[in-house]
Amino acid sequence: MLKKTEDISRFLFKGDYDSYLNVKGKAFTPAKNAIAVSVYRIGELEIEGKLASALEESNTWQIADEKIAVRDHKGAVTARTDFKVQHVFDSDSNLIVIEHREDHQRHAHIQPFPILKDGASDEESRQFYKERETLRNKLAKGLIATVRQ
Amino acid sequence: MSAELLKKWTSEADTPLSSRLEDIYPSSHVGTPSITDQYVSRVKESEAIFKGLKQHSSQVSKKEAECVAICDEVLRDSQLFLKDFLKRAPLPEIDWEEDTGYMNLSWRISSVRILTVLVRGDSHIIFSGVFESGQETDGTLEISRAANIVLSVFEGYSVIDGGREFVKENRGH
Repeated sequence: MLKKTEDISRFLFKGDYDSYLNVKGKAFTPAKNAIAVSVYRIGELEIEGKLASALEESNTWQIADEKIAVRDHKGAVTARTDFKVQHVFDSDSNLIVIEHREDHQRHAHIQPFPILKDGASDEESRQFYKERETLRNKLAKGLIATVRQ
Repeated sequence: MSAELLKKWTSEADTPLSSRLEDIYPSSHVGTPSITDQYVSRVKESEAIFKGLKQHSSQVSKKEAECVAICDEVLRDSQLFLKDFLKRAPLPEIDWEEDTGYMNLSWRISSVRILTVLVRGDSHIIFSGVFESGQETDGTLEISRAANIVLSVFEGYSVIDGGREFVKENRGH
């Protein structure tokens, strides 16, 4: 589990923030049947026993270029939102941030998001979407997008 | 809204909502737009956004398998909800949820006050409000009574960014 003081960043597509740069809840939607959303650790951290310094701006965007696929309907990453792990704890949910280095040395997951079971009833489905909506909103609360120059 | 009126509105799906509103609330043609004019304008704007999103979602879903187009039921419920809600509230940010085909309506009352309504086309809406100091509210409501209940949440938290003023000015509608 990452330290609460650690700096992390979520990469954003154009529809993930509004004209005032407020991050929308939909920016924290896990992929279908996934329990996590990806973030990247942008602060100082230890990698393979060595202290790695915080990422420069250009290095941070380089991760987006390398790891976030351009999608037909969304385009490329246009912005990101930086926050501390503490923000996730402050959301007063069961979410935690854990490292997930298989993909990238600085990759991490916010999890666990609820999953909609196959064959869920209407009521269970509504409960799932209500829970997910609130979690997404809690994570988006107070976050501002930094648009890529 | 009465069941009779709801039936009338839903049975006239081919006629744009804004046209029917203009029949009911005649426009004032001089001076500053009246509250009614502003309301009709908001409804028209929402219809244009819905139409654009529906077309866009239809096109994208044909190319990308993981994207789901907005269906008629989602559109119907979104319009029904906003028809009442917009009488006393500003136009929300309207988003298509690509992975489900649902519609998401959001009011960012400030950076730390978020109210969203998820429309799934099942004659219900799911609302979620998160506010500063950890205050939150959420629920599932039948579409026929959703607007008034969610409006009360909106009015309770729309103190800044002109929200309170908006509510006050439009209360007489």
